Amino acid sequence: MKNKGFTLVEIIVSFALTMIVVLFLFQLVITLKNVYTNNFVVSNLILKQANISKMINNDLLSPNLGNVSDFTYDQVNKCYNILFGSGIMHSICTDTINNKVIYDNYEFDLVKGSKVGNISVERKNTSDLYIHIPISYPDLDKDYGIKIALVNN
Amino acid sequence: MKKREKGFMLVETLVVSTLVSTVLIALYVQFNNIVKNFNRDFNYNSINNLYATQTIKKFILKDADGNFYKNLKLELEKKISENKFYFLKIANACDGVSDNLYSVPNCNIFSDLTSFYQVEQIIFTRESAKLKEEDYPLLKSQNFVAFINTIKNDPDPMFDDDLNQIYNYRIIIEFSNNEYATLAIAN
Repeated sequence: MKNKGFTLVEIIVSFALTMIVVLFLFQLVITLKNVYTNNFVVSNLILKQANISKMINNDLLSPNLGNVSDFTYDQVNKCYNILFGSGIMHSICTDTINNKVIYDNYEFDLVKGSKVGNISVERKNTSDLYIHIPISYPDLDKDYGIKIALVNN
Repeated sequence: MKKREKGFMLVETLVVSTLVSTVLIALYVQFNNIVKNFNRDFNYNSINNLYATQTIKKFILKDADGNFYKNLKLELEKKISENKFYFLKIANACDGVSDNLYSVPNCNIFSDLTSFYQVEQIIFTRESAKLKEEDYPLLKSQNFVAFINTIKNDPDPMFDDDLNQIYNYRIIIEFSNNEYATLAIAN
């Protein structure tokens, strides 16, 4: 009669159970790590997006600067110039090499690894402007860019 | 009683596996909630979407004939008093008028605007955003309903100091990338 130790079946079963638990916990740790990494990147992307969006939109909505009276493309600097009713002009540019968005005198360095595209401007109904500054991040399929519509109703 | 010398009893195995499973399930549920909330927080009221909502709100308030918003408020109050709907839908394009769907004047321009911001649906309701459960299927999206339910029903109505008025109404927007934003309207 066997008085000590485990049988082979007991050991196999206990190992199998332990493996299931360890695999589950490991999966959990990996997901947690991904959440943490994504959280950091997404937070920064959204923070940058919010800062740029706020700065441009505040000017566009500000009664002090007046309505947008002209919107032109500067071929030399590859920027768009916004002329306000008050006579003040601000320009928006993207630096795709150094990964920056430049508005007026402010330069916004984007999140490392993200990619800023060229500004696209669409004119509709003669006076409506649709401005899009695309910002993407390789592992995330969303656009973290800026979208601004100037619509006259 | 004869002493058992090898293996576990079925009951012992069952009790242990049940305990382990319970712990794992509890862990999974908690963890799932964390991931869900994490993803949710980034999709609600982002600055970019709030500005988009502000642009759409301005369009609705300053429509060409000036009566659309006035009529919208009257229609909403009428539907609520008739206990029909607690919200109205604003059409993204020139979809005409149905029982609770309203099309904005200058709908062609509005259509360009909503497609630019990738708007899925716009609803107009009271500031408290308290909808009836029967209304939920009309919103066609469980995530949208979940977002609406997060809008706090403030016992003291919010006050807009600039306009010197209480926020009475609200527009709530669902964007096509599962993002949501809402703004209160003070007149």
